[in-house]
Amino acid sequence: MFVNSRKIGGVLLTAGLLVILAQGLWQLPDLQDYFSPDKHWELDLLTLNNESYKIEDGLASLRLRVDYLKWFLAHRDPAQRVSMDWMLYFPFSESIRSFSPKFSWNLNIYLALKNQVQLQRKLKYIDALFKYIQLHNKQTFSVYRKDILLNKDGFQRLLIIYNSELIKLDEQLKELRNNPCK
Amino acid sequence: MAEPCNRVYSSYFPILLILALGAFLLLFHLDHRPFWQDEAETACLAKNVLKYGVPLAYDGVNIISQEQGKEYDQDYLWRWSPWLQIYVTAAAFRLGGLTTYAGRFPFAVLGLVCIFFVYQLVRRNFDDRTWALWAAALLTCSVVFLLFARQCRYYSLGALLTLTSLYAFKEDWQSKFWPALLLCLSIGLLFHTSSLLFFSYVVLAFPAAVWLYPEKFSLKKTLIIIIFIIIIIFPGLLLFKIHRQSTLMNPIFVPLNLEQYFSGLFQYMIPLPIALYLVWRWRRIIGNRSAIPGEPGERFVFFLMLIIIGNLIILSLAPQCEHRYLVHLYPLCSIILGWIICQAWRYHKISAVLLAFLLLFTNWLNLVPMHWLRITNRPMDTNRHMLTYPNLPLKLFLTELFSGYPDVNRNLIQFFQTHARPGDIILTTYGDLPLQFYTSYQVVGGLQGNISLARPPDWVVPRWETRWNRTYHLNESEVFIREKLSLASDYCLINLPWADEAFGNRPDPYSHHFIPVAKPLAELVIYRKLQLRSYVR
Repeated sequence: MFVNSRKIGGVLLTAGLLVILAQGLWQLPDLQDYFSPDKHWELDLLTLNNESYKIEDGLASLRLRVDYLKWFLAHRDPAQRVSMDWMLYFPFSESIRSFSPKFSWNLNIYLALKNQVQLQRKLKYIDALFKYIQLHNKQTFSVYRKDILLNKDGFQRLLIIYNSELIKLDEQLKELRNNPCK
Repeated sequence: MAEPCNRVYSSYFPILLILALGAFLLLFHLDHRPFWQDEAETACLAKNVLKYGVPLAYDGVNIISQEQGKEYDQDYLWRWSPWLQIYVTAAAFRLGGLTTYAGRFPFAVLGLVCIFFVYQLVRRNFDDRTWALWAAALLTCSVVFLLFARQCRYYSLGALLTLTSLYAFKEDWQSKFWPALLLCLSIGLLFHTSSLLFFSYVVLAFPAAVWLYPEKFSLKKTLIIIIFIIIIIFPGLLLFKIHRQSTLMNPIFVPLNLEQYFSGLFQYMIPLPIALYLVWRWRRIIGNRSAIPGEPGERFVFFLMLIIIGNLIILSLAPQCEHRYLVHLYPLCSIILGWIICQAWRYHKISAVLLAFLLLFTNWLNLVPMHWLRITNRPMDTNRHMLTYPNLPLKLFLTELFSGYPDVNRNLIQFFQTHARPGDIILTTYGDLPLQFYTSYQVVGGLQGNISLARPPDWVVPRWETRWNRTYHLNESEVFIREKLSLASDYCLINLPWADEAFGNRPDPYSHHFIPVAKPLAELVIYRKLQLRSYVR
């Protein structure tokens, strides 16, 4: 019985390692390039797609934090009760807000700035990657966004929207920083 | 019957072979790329040690700073990080001249000593030559460890001191003088190598050691050791501004840092399936002391695992989260993985061979399962010929060594060595320290902070990657270029055909490029000042 279970375990272990070996070989860039020379363009398009989703998420979370900071400023009375709505989104900040408003404010400003910088980096990168693909890849440009096929112009418009949204949030954030919580 | 000398030869031959391979991988073409920013910081400070005897951040021409001048006071004495690595580099420069090879050489040699100590630690304490050889071989083939050990930075020194402290701990330090001295020196010097490594290592390794090896701790001897360690580190506590760095801590980032460190651990050090196997194997230990492995080898592996986890937890409190802070744990991981291979061999030989192949020559066991679970940490600016993708790491490493790499810092250094004139001022948004080390010009900008110049810079290098400071404000050099200079009217644009990569020879696995891309995303641009005009608004 023991010998059998050991044998089965060994076979399963070998099988698992072989699967990893096969998968690793399959994903090896040199082999991928050999069998499918356009693979790197596919991956670049995939990066564009993935990063644009991340930018959307980042913009949404920055928007939410800016809204929270605005609400914070409008309700800076220490007697202000904990907001259950905001508690859902920013549990730590909201729970310490009444005890240490200044710390909570500074923390949220810091996190908003961090988020903003990350978004700027991402946007700069995917903008450059997009131009790079346009310049060097002669094949059809297509990126799927929520089941909608985007061509070059469509993606360009998307980047413009992201940029304008980020500029808008940047201005709001600047205003909030100039009007600090005492 | 074999002759005694033949037996000795056959007994040492495998480790000598591994060490020869390690020496080649660590020392071959050590200077094929120039220092990048962090290495150049150490090298510039070491250069000043040769000149002034102490690490000064100012040499009369240039300021060495990456923290907006927080690293020194009015006397320019470097107080941001411990000095040991600076003095090691200075000694190397004294012996070998101010060269890249000389700067990196002592650390590469220490990397080689790490490989030997991994072997020696296992062999001496557990009398298991196979395990010791596997551990040494795994460390030798660990490309991330090789990259870090080939840097003019403290990484291999930290790894060696971690190993020697464990070696001394496993010796009879309670009754013998030399192991006790080695233990004190290892831990004390670890502080003078990197205070962050010291705290992350000691804080949880000590209670873990007491828990697992209570028989090794007598109160009197332990107190003596602690007092000696405090005596060694005390001057450093007064000299270095550890308290200033601690103000950068923010508890809100602990979960994110933990996530990053654990993903780094699984992606480059101990594959997730192996970590899960170990958790499953030791699942009964929580709350049940009698379930602690009794077999000395396994107990030691468990101890190492606790040290690694403890390090990750403590490191997550620090403001910056970088894989480089885990380098001293690579030898520990190789010991664990060597033990795993030996266990697998006892269990099922074919599996053990497959496992050894995967661990020695590929990163597939690290990355493929994480890819399946969609938890791979892969920054957007990585490419497929990096360690963030399934690859043959040694092949990438050797390709870089044999084919060379068009390093961004080398291109800039060569450009200025050819085109700049004595007395020129260069303003760059990053990479100021390599230029300071390799050229004789005044180089400002980078992450130095406030810029005050008697005249406008003769050269401006606005790097493609925008740099922000720790509080996420645009760096002063970026602001200076945008607000104080008129590049369009007062400077002449020079487009260079070289890639403007973010760092150069940075060893972190998510940043290190082994093979250049055929067509770079961004190319270097330099602005040269036009003559006979006024430039600063």
